[in-house]
Amino acid sequence: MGKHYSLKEGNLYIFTTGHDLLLDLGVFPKELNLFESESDWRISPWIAVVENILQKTAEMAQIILQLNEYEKVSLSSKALENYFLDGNEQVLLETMKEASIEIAPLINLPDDAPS
Amino acid sequence: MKLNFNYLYFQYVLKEGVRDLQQYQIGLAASYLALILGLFYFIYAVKYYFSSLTAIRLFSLDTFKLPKEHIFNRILAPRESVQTPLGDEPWVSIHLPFFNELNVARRILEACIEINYTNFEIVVADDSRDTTIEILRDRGWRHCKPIIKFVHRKDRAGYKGGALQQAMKFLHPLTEYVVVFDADFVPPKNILRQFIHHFMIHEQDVKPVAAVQGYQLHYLNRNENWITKSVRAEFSGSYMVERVTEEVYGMMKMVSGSVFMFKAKVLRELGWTQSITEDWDLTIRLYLAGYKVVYTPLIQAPAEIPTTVRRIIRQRMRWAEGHTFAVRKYFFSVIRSGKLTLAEKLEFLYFAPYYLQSCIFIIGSISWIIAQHCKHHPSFWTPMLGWSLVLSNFLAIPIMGLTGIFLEGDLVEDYNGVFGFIVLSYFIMPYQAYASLKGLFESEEGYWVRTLKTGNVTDHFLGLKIRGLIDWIKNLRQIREYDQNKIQIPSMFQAKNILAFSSLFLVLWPVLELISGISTGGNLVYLLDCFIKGVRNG
Repeated sequence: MGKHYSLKEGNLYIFTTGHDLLLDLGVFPKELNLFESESDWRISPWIAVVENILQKTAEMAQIILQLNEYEKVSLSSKALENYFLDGNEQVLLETMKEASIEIAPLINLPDDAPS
Repeated sequence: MKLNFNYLYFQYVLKEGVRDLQQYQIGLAASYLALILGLFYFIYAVKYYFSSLTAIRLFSLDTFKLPKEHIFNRILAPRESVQTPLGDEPWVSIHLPFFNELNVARRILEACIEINYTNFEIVVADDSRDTTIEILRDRGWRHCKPIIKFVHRKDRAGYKGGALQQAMKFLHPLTEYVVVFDADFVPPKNILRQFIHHFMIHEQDVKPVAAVQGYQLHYLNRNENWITKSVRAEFSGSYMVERVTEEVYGMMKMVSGSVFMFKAKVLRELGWTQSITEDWDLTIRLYLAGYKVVYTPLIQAPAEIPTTVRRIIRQRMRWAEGHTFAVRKYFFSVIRSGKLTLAEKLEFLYFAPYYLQSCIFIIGSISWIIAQHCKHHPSFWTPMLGWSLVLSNFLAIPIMGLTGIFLEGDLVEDYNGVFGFIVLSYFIMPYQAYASLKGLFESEEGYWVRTLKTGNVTDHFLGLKIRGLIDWIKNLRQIREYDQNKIQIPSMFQAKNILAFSSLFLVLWPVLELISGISTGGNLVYLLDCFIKGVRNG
């Protein structure tokens, strides 16, 4: 499995490793205001972050993520922020190993991905 | 009865005398004011004419015959020299500030993806409130190479500067250079390599280079209406003529909001501020920190032009207010700084009241009209002096614009834009004057008014303008000989020479008028007439 999410310091991190691609962010209803104009968010090819998420919204988001086979993990926000910056799976892998989390093989994007 | 009549007559004479005296004083004061402001404006005009002459000279030379380290060669640095192999290039982060860019978001993202470079990422700093967000959420961008990061803010704190500062937080750790494009630009494929190349050329400079500024080629919708044509001519004068001259003489150059590459280390150190003219604010701070900006017209990215007078006015009002506010904020720091060269300080002094020119023009013109009406002038004032000043000042920007579009090879197509710009500048002037005064006296800057981008394209950009510069310079002589043989135009009637002669004439005329007025009290024609008669009479 390479689909994970994490809730740290009020931020929701949704991320993938290996061959897995990030889910379509349109799956979240507009009412949750996750990736809409009225929230602070970031997206990279391998991680999406919503900042300062409300408790109730977080609960709803978790249900949707679990329905999409995303697994909750507990990682430090530093590791996740670094993953946003450089997409370096090596470092994330180390952190996940330390946290005893099952991980997918190391590759960010498929080489034959359309450009 | 007689006494009464005398008394009335005396009163009448006294009244007339006072009126005459008042008229004399007002006329004289207005004359002096008009003259001082006219001469102040003339200083700007001289720079424009001087810039036109310099640019014509620069682009007429066969720079390949000059030493490699010659400033002309550094500005027109040949692109075919040293290229870093793909994969070994320094890491570049392209920053795209977005605010409701529905019409152009996809276009610029696609253009950036096409850039011929390996080690780079794109960071979209988004403040949108409309459906632009749907474009950004599109899954397709996540399958692309290079990496695209989207950073959205729910507020617009700090406007564009705030968004760019937010983007700085999410730079790839290996980033060595940061490039900024506004959303309406379409960067060409080789642009990053060109930027890096110019940094390499200036690597050994005594003063470290913080940024390389390219040419914002406002071109994509130039044929949409007379306004777009006018602005195209204006920008051509500024980027092909004025900035080139500033580069030649090592003056202060501005980082202009888009199409520039910054050293990431310097940008991390200086950061973006929340100014409504964040680019000018950053420029001043980088010079205060001991860095400099390099400009080249060879790096060109085509862009859209605002299409309505209202949009232009709002854009220019923001520029005028923010610019003047920043000048007020940093003026004495710049003047006292030991890190700016004399040429840089002089350019700052020249550029500082740039938008206040509108006020100067309005007050000067009114004073001139009053002086003409009162018919009382200083002894050296001649009507010719007034008219020569008016004409010189009036034609300075059009001549610079014509020179710019001539150097780009678009004179025949775009010359009428220059006349449109004259009209447009009169529309803008009172608004610009008001905004610059606001910037001068307000305690806090106003708010950012965005310029809507429509996404309309009337002219596709097919490569480097500047008459296909490199090839043009290489083949200049052959083409010229061929054209001359074919059309038989005497050299003095060639566009280049006409522009150069008019520039010289328009600078010299008011100066000679002033000299002749002060020394003889007559105008130049009278002086010449006396001289000729004197010669004839031995």
